[in-house]
Amino acid sequence: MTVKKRALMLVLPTVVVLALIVIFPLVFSLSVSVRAYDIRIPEHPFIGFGNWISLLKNPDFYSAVLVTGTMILAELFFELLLGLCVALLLLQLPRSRKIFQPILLIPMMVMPVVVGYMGRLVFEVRSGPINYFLNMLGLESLCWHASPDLALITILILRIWRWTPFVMAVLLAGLLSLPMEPYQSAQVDGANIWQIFIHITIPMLKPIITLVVIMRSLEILQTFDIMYVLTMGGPGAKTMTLSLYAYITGFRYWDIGQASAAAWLIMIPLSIMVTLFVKMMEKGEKIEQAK
Amino acid sequence: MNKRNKLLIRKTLISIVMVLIVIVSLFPIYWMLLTSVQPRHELMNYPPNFYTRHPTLEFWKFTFKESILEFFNSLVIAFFATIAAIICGATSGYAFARYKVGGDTLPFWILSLKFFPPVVAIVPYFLMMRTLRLIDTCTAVIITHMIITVPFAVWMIKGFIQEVPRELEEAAMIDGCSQLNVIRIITLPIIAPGLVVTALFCFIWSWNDFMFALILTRNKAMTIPVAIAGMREAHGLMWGEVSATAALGTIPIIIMAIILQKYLVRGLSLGSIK
Repeated sequence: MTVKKRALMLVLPTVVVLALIVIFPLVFSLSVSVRAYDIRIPEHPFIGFGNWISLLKNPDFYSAVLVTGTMILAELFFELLLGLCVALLLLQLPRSRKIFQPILLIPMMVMPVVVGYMGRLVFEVRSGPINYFLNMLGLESLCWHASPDLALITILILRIWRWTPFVMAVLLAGLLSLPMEPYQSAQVDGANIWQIFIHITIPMLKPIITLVVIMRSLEILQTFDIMYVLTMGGPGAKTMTLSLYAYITGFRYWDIGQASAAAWLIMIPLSIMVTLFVKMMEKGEKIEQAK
Repeated sequence: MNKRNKLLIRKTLISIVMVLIVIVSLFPIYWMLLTSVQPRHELMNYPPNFYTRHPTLEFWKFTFKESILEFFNSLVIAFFATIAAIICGATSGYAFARYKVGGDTLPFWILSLKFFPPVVAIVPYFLMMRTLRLIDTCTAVIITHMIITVPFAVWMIKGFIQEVPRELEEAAMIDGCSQLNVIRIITLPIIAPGLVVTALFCFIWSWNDFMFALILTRNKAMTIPVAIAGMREAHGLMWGEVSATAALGTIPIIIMAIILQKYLVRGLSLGSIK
């Protein structure tokens, strides 16, 4: 009993700290979202679901949902594809892998604000290197992040550049942990590389791919920094993601009530994904303990 | 012999592809470093220079003069957010790993907080810090960063402690060691690398954070990312100056990542892949 109590004393401070810094803002933000909140006035009258309804009637909100959804699908597709290709290539180079892998992981360590700034630098219209390469190939210079058609693509290129290394590293770790036996027996049965890949590698990698998909979706759902630096959601609202939308509503237009409602609407898909993630981790832990 | 040659050719081809991928992935970083040491009159030339014959430290001098406060703020904030996380993580991580306090539910609840979206917290924290008159202080930013660093540290350290064989602790206990001594002499040295790894991750996270610092700081407590984002608005585009500041903010993190290398995947996947 005393041991249990002592252990509880060890946990208590952390739980109290976390409850204070996490539950407080959740409850507070919910209460702000049902008020007409003007920070210049001390009174904040209760208006029920007014903020939520006007948010759900606002086409800008849906455009932000669409942009965020597009980003999730496009990033997942390209990051998994590129990440898997690079991981499979590295798998073929058991010795030089140790040199290549750490170098390839560097983009992931660049802070997102700097990634946005790098985008400004390399996609510069008049004398940026990317347009220079295009000109060398005989193509016209493009406006990249300033053009309505290409702004989202520019952001996606930058984000794929930063995050593919993460996907690659996790997939490679997964590939390296796969057991050898299924491969050997498939080879004995005379399966070709493609068949082995589709019928053995992919099914065995499935838990890790699911994990990557959830972790990446969670991050993309909250993405903010690169757009803030590079486009501020523009041109128009072509690169306005949900997080940026909530930020601009709250801290540019000072509509704090509606910003809280928007933040809560991000919380809903996010909590579903977090629950899934935690379930997967729990399962993994059980398997580990059973071993 | 033929088969061996084929294998060699294949490996060479793959290596060439890898080198190309490396060039593409390092190019933006190289370009930023190049911009930070190029003399002003060479910047924005067309065609662009891919190297410079006259490197200059002009912009780096500017950065060290103008951004030193922001650099220092980032350092202080990341340091304290990390220390708090390690203290909470070590105490409760030990209790979770050894005494199963709260069963499975409590540690997993804490893990799920790692994904707490800053965008939900910014409004309430802004209002609260305003009431407490803590806007533009490092304290405000440290408190908000703990939302992410503490759950991460608890989870990671719990994992590292679980890997220490229980028998080792029990054997020492039988030899007459007190509980506290067992932790000090046996457990702590074994998990020390794990603690360092966790600390570095917390530090990187806090250092790279933009949203909390953007909302809670004005100028006295401004951090490096906020300074970089703001330089563009304040001075038009000063390519060289911004590049030097951005490089200054990025290089320490890249160095840390190289130190972390072995544990990078484990930290990034929250311990799910070891």
